[in-house]
Amino acid sequence: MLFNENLPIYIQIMNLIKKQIVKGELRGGDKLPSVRDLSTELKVNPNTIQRSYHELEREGLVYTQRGMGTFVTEDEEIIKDLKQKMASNLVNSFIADMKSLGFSLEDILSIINKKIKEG
Amino acid sequence: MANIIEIKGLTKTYHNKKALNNVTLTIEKGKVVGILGPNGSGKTTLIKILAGILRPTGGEVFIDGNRPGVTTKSIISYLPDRNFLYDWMNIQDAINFFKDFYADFDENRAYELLDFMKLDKNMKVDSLSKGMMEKLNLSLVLSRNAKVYILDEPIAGVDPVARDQILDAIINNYNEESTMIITTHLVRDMENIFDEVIFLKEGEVYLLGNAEALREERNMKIDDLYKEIFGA
Amino acid sequence: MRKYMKYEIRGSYRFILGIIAVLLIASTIIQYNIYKASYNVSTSYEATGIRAFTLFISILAIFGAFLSTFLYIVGLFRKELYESRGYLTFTLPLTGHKILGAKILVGVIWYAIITLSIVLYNLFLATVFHGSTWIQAIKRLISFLGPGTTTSIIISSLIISLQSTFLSLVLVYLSIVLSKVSIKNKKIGGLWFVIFLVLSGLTSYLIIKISQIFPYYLDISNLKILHYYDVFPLTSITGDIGRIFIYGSNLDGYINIFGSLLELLFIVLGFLATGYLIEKKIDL
Repeated sequence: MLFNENLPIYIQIMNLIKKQIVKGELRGGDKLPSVRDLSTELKVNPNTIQRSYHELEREGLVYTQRGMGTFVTEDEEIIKDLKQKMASNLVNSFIADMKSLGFSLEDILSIINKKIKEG
Repeated sequence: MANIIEIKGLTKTYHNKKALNNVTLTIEKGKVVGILGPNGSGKTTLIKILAGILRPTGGEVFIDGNRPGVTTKSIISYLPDRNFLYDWMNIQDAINFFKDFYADFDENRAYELLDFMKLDKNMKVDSLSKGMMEKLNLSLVLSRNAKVYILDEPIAGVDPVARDQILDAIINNYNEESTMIITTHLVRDMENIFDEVIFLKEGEVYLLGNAEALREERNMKIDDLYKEIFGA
Repeated sequence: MRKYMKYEIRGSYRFILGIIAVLLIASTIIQYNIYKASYNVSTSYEATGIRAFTLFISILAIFGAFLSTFLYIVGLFRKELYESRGYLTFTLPLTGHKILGAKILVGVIWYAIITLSIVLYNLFLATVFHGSTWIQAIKRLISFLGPGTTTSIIISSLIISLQSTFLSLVLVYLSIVLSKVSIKNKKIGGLWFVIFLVLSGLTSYLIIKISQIFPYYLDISNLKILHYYDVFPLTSITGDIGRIFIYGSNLDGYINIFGSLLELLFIVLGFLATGYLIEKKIDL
């Protein structure tokens, strides 16, 4: 996998896993790949993977069971929150971009409405 | 965390030309450290001093508390930037050789790695291609349970498939108890495996730090940072 | 160190076997010629010419074989210092003295094997060509010398030749290392040889000098120490004084004590210095 954004790798890996959770590829209670496996798969330093898991755990998205591995939280609320947060992040950056191109909020709304009607 | 390597004011001069000038740095145990710089930046000189085959002109080097010597050679697993096996050997001879001289050599791991690299133990060393040779040497070096691994340009001049195999082998064999020092000028291919990076420019430490912190701070990949530092 | 010797032997035995083969072939030609000459079987002028030529070539081959073994040992070590195989050898967790010791011992072993195989093969050829007369001649010689003198001659000449082989090898390695430490450039390849000649000359000169100053000789057969004039009581010839090894009037051999001890000292000092340089001073 290529890491193209100019973000720390651990954040890019967190985002990757978050996307998988939101898309439902990873469900509540699912086991994440082991640090070593993911590290080999992505060709990334295991310490970096460890850090991503650590940060995800701090955000409450995953939990670690000693000797068993790391699992996606079974708390639906947290996953729902994550979805919301990711959606609003996307929308926020979209709006910011549009504004920087000189569109007003009304323009943006009408463009979106038109797009949706067109299907 | 404990420092496995401490370098203070290290200088190396060849015929009045300074290959290393007053290099001071420490490397923590359990880290994967990239030493980055173009050819002639002093990477190989630094590594050869750590490996104990080049003597400092000035300054001090400590590896696990010892100056480079017989003791440090027994805890360092060194991959030079060239083929170093005797030309009369076949792969099995090379394995026996490592087993005879290094108490920390894991023969089974060597066979696993050879298998992974698709190398046959009856192959003659002097009949191998550049990529195969690199894979063989790396397999031998990684089969030791060394405290310090020093890999000089492990992926230089090998094809993309070999490169991936080599990267996989390096990552798979990493463990928290050992330290890996890797030199490269192919930063894009390797930057994701480094905890720390040290930029060497004309024999001096230009910049060093945690790879992730540098990405965050500079808002760029290490590869771009490398191009910025050394680019035309 | 024994492990390292094993790999030194494995790396060089093919070459040594080749050398031995050349030597045995040359010996056969020489012995055959001596045999033919002594029985005067062929008298044709032409045949004699060809025989003389092959004889000459064979003697040259023996000389050449010893020289190439010497140069081969030199070449192997220079490869370690100037080419990539040194990256394996000198990163082994072995002291410089162990690496050097292994190389010197293997060198001595090769020379011993080569010499022994020539001697034994020639004895064998002699019995083939000359039959029992040859064995009778040796038996007569031994009985003439007496068992004591025979063993003492064998032991003292063994000691002397081992000492000189060790010293030559130590000086070779010292010279190569010194040239590497002083000048990095491989192009100046002859430097080691100049150093070697100087060191060999110097050590031989000092050994001769000390033997002249202290002409005391050891008789291995009874471990008695004799002055030169005890060996040759009736002569006033002093030309032999200064030789580290002398033969008495009955072919009895004596080793000069101080010369031999000085040679031993040179071997030890040379070994210590070379091992130290290998471990602490060489830049690959």
